[in-house]
Amino acid sequence: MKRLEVRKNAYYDSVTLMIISKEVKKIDGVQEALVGMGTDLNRELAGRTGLDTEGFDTVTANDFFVAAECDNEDTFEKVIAMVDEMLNKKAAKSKSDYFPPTLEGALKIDPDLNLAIISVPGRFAAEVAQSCLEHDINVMLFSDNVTIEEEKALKEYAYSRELLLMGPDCGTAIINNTPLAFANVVKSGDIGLVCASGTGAQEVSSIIDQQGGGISQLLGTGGRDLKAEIGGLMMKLGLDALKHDEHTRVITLVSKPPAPEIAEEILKLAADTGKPVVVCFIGGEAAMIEKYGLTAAVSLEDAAKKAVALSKGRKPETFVSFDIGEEKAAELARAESSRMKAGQKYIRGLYTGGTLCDEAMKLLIEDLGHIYSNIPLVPGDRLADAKNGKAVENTFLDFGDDEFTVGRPHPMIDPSLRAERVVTEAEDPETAVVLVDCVIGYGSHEDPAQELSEAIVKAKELAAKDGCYLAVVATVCGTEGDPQSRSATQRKLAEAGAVVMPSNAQAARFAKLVLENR
Amino acid sequence: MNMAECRYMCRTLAQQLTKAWIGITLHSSFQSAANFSSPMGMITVLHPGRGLQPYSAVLEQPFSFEQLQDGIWYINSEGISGPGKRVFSFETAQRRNTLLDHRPRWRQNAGLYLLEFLGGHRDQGLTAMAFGDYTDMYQEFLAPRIHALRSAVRSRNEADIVRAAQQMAGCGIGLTPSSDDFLCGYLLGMPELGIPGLKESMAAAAAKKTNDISAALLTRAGQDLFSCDILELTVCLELEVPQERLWKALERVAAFGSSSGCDFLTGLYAGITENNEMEE
Repeated sequence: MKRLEVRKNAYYDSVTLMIISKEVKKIDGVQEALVGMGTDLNRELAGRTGLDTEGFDTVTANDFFVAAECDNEDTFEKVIAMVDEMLNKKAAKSKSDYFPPTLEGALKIDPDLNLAIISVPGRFAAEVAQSCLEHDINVMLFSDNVTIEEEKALKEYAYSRELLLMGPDCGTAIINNTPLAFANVVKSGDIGLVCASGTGAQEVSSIIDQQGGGISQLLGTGGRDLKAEIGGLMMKLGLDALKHDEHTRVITLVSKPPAPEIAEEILKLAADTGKPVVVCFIGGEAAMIEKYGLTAAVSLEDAAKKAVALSKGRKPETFVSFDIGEEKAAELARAESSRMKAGQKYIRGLYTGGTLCDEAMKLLIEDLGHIYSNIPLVPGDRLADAKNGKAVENTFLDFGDDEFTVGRPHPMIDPSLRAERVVTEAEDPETAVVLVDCVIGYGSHEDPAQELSEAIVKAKELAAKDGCYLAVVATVCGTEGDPQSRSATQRKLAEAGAVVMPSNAQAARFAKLVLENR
Repeated sequence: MNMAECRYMCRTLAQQLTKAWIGITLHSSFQSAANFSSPMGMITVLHPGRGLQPYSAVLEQPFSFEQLQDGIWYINSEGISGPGKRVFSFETAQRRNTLLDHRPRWRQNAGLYLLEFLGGHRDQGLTAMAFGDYTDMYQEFLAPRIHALRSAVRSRNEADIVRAAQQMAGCGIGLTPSSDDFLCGYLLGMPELGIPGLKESMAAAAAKKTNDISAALLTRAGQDLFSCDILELTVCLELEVPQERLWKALERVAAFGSSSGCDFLTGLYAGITENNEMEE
């Protein structure tokens, strides 16, 4: 049956009309529908689609109409009820169904917007972010290639208005239990994080979840926030936000070691929150942190475990061991190294997460002496051509760094380049251990373990042809609740022959253990 | 209801107003705008942050337009008043130009820039048509009508042009049907054919076939009156401005309505293309 509903001299904004038009067609029992103003052409179009029905001749260009071909009268009543509902709460509805092309468009459908995620080419990013801040909108600036001068100006402006400017290059945040960009499905809880690193935030929040803790807020700051030029403005604002957040009982800070003068300021503010604070300045000195009565962590995993302990009212204890125990780990390491050929002596760390790569290098540098990298710990250890050149002794690569991502997606989205490199490293008879991460969660590849496990099998076969044994040590950053599932990802990698460790820190320590047995 | 100050107002509108009161009626109100019918045509009051349109004023502070009552209102050079009380004040409003006072001379590659931008919005309104695609029934329905308009323009036949403009008006879902927005863009971009009053005739003919609000925009476009955002875009497509400025201008226009901005840009692209082809 064909039915027509007309609202005389009724005007509704285009966004609402567009949404109604889409939604009406989704109702069960509606074969065809047309919504719009009753102009000659729209009525002619209705005729062509078989929707011309009694009463159409009285519709004018200033009337709003809904024409539909439905199974029965009840269905049409549902159509009208839905139209009325949408017209009554058009703004709320439009939020989920309409994707405005610009900020102005977004504000038009919801003037109360207070958070924007910006992912535009870097050269436009600062201007877009500034525009958001001017509209009192907090910003998660996913874009990179924003200059430090632009970052400074944006953050000073944001700070003056008590708005968050998370970024640039901020890939992870969880606000009021909503994961943004690359984040994991973690339980809600009382631990608040402010992190100047993306995969560092993912690692800490995931381990908190695994340890039975939960997250209140996870605020990102961007990797340069604690540099002297920026002054830790967003870390300060984040700390203040968590200080006043009633759901946050324990605070955790994650960053590379800040400029000393900034560190002092941050630590003093952290101490003034009156809440237990765990600080992980990856590779930094603990003494300065403890001077302020705060809890220093030696790794991302240690930070997570200490935060959970504090959240549950337990005394935090430093963890530098293995979940399976020292003995078992040593036994497993011996088993791996015993199968290797003479001459296999180097670790090749192939990472998709930059902070995980950095953390592993810091945990191993004392033992290895030099680690060559595209994100080296000391300038002299920088690889001349990380992408196309060969590995040099102990080499760690961050595949998310610029030279690997020009013209292609981040390796957490497209893990193929890293997978190829796993095979390449197997061709080097000096490679003893390939150390890899596998980051899952929202934003990441739907099954990053698949390509990696195939590469591991191939790499091991290739090494075996030369009489070598290639040890592959892997870690999965993520949670059981993630779309890819932590346990399923771990299982896939283990079935490919990797030793899968429960954290990045344990994976790095295990790789060292394998080497020590050589 | 407290009095709301206007921050900007259309200079052409301001020039028409004196101290004398003119009776107007509330035509329609939305979350972010209200329209008044007047002897001068539609007059619009807009929420802060909206771009100034011809015959409009933009408020300094947010305002709940839904509270406006039907009935007789009055306008003069000082503002808009309801029964016994001024509701919108023009006294401190900065007058801004909405009149395109010259024939645009599009910069080389203006069309290509538009096409590049539209490439990022192919799922919006009529945009796909700029790429020769027809992805929904509206586009299929409009394609021969747009073709007729463009053929008529190329043949410089005034009667055919006006008829074709009329025959494509009022098609689309939105409050301002997509074909009307397209036509507004086309009126801006199309070549100067040396036929006096042609654009005004095209707009007037099309306005008869659509709703009041869309008709007002068409009529203004026929008089070379466009929103400040469109005038800024025109500058950016005429002069060698930095790419960022051009892109920002395109984005602001693209944000009009649901798909109105992209429909306008699609029409503008068609008009500029006509210009280039006819110059050759």
